[in-house]
Amino acid sequence: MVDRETRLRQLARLAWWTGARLRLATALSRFALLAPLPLLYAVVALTSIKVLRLGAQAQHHLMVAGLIPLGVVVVGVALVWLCRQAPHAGSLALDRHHDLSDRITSALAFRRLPPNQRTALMELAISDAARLSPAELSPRRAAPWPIPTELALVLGLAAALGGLSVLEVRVTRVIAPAKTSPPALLSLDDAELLRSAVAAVQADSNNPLVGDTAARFHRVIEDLEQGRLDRLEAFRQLAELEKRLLNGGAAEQNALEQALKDLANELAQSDLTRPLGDALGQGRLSDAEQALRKLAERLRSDQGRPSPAELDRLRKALDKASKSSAARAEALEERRQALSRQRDRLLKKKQRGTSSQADARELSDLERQLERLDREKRQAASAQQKLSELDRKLADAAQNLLKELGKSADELARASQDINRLSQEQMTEQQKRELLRQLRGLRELLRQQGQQGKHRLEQLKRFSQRARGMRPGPSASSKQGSRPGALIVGPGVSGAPVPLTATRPSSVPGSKSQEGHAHGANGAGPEWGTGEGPEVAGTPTAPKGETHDVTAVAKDTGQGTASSEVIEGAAERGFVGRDYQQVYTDYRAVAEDVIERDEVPPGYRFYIQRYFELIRPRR
Amino acid sequence: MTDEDRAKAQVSEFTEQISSLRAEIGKVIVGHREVVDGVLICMLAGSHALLEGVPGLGKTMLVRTLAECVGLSCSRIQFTPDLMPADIIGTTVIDETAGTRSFEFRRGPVFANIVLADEVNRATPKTQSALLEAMQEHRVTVGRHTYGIDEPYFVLATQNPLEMEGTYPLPEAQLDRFFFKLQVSFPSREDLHAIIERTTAEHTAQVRPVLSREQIIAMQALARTVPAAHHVQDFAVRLLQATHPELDGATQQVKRFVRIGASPRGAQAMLLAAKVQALLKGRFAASIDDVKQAALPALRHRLLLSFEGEAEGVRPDDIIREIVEKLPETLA
Repeated sequence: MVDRETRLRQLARLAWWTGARLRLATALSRFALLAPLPLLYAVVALTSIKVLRLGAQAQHHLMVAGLIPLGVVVVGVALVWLCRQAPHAGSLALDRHHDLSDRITSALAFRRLPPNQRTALMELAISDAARLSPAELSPRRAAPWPIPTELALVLGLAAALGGLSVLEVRVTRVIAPAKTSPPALLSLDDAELLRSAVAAVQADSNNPLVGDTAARFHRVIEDLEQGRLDRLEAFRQLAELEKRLLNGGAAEQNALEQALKDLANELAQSDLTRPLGDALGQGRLSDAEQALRKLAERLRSDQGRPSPAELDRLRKALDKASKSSAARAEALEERRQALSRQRDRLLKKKQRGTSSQADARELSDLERQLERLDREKRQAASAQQKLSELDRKLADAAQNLLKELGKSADELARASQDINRLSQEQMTEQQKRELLRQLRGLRELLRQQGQQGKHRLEQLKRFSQRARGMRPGPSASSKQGSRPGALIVGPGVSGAPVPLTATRPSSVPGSKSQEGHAHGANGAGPEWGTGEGPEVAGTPTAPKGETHDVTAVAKDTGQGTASSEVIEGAAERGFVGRDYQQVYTDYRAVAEDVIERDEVPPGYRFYIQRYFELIRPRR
Repeated sequence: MTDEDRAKAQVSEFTEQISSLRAEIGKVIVGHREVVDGVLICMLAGSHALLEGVPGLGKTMLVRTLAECVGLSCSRIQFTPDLMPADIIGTTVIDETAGTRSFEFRRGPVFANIVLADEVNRATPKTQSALLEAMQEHRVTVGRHTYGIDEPYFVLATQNPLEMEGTYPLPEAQLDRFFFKLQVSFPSREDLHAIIERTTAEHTAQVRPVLSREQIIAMQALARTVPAAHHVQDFAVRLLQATHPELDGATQQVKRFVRIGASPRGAQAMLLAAKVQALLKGRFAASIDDVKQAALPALRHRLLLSFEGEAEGVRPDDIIREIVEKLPETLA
């Protein structure tokens, strides 16, 4: 038998639970009342987005604005949930549903009074309620959750929203072609030239770095030829290749060459090592290796053995040579220390505040010199390290000359292997330089061709065909300012034209084409490339840009076809044939000699080289 | 025996006594269950009732039957326009007995336990006020003497809604003294059959007293001890406030058609009636339903309609029903 108090507690709990259900029912009703608002907004917004094709920003704004109706719902429901409920709502709902005439509510109200304030009838009312069985009381039925009348509207809007979300509004629109960067242009002819140059380097090289870089270079050339790279990407890849090649450090190479020259100077003091010294001084390391081997053989053989005096001079030369790089480093260090002392003196003067402007300038100069000396010292140290083995072997050879020639010869033979290694590295450096040159040439080519666009490529294509002796197809409209069929090589529009079609040489005084002889009185010169005609205008480095006959006024050696005829023929038949090859080689050699002797300004070297590349012989 | 047991026994006895009283009254009065209960509630509340109905509906019969069932003295006053106050409260006469002359106050019909004041609206206001004073004070003052009226004192006044010409409608202040205003409706067909059978037969039903005066007084005292929880009392208060157009809880109809709302006597009447109602149903505490049940008879005569309400023909009953329907049972 459950006591009265327990039963009342049970009733109180039931009443509380019923009250909670009532609160939730109210909140649900409020939710159903307000839910159509954000749903309707979502439907309208989604429709607008789909039909009007609104952009991301507009969509974002709509989404942000959608928070307002959503907030209204949240606030509305929260207000209902949080607002104070009537204290007896739960118990009254139970009384109403079970038709108890407020028995539970009155009993719970009287129960809250202190016992001494309760009358007999109150106690009876409490006891009367306590006789109720909680099992028979149903909060769920007393406080049902009603189906809101707005539920149909909410479901309808939700379904509409779902349908809209999967709906696709098809709009026909013209899609503009994507703007892409035009591919970098490289003619087939130039690609062939580059490819052969790089292949030549790759074939001669044993160095993995050179080989790998050459292979990458090939890929870049192929991509450019196929139009797979745009200008930006092409320049980026070329810069990357250049960086790989430059990682070796040109400065260290120069220091090594200087160290070899110092070595060569010392070795030149002895007749026995003079060939070796000469070869080293000129950078012909393979010859130097041969010379050293020969010396070692000579020392070993009994025939033609050097005299003691020669051996003594040899010893001294070898000894000094072995110390040359160290001596250089010491000299640098001494110089550096002297300059440091000077700098410190000037710094102290500056701190004291007694330095003048001249002192400040001198200090600045000293700082720069010290910086340079530090750099040279590092480079010299690097070179010394590379030559350390060679130095040691030369030193051992010098020492052994006094005791045993055979041993000395062995040392010299081993030293030749070091020179061989250096030769390999030198060759690698040369190959690197050649690749760099080609890289830079290609970059300049792309830069120039990029300025003139597809028209330039068309010109190159026709030129290449004619260079091979083929008739080109119908030409594209020529660029304004240039004659049809003329390929301009040079800066801007003032460069020298390379004619694509042959022109009958006019009767130019001094022209060799008709008679095959040089006419000295009419402009012919005594030697190759020294003649001149009246149509050649401008200076050697800034020829005028008009097309004119290419006439070579040459010396008639009486040995076969004259150069002018060959050149004339080339303009008609293309740059083919053995004769043309010979003429080209001669002229090319002259051009390179001029470039080597720095008689051409650096900015124009590319154009001269480009010119000769374009008129190179074709197969 | 504990207080609870005693109280329980009292409630049980109350229920039985009321049941027997109802049954006894039912021998004579056919139908009119609500009116009979209303009259009983008024009596047990120690107050008075105003009955309104056309003649011949058994109002007088009810009062007489009730008086016979409870063994109380009963008097009937037929109010006419020429009725004087002395006609109801009594008068002083000269008494000549044994050769002496003295003034003797002869009590009027108002000095009964149960008084039926028929067609009270036919008498003049002066005569009406004489009755109403007795109803309020439970005593009569004549000259310099005050004469008390024996308890229980219960006045049932009647009004004839048909004859309005030459009548003196009770003023609102006077109407407010009546606990309930009960509408006596025309009996149904079945009830009419029963009425005719009973009243036209050879033998009419006879009632006997089932309650004594002391029992009624005890019952009145018990009714006042019935507790009403705060939420019940609060409901009665809010119900009363809702009849006032100037207050917040008033409905649109109240604001439009009511000029003056019910006085606090209305709330007292509702609560006291709810307590009696609870006892009548054998419960130990009053409930909101009891208050709702008492609202109509307790408030219908206490609302003063506005001109628009009267012109529209709005009935106070409709206004009170709307209030009861819309008023929330609890307030946060």
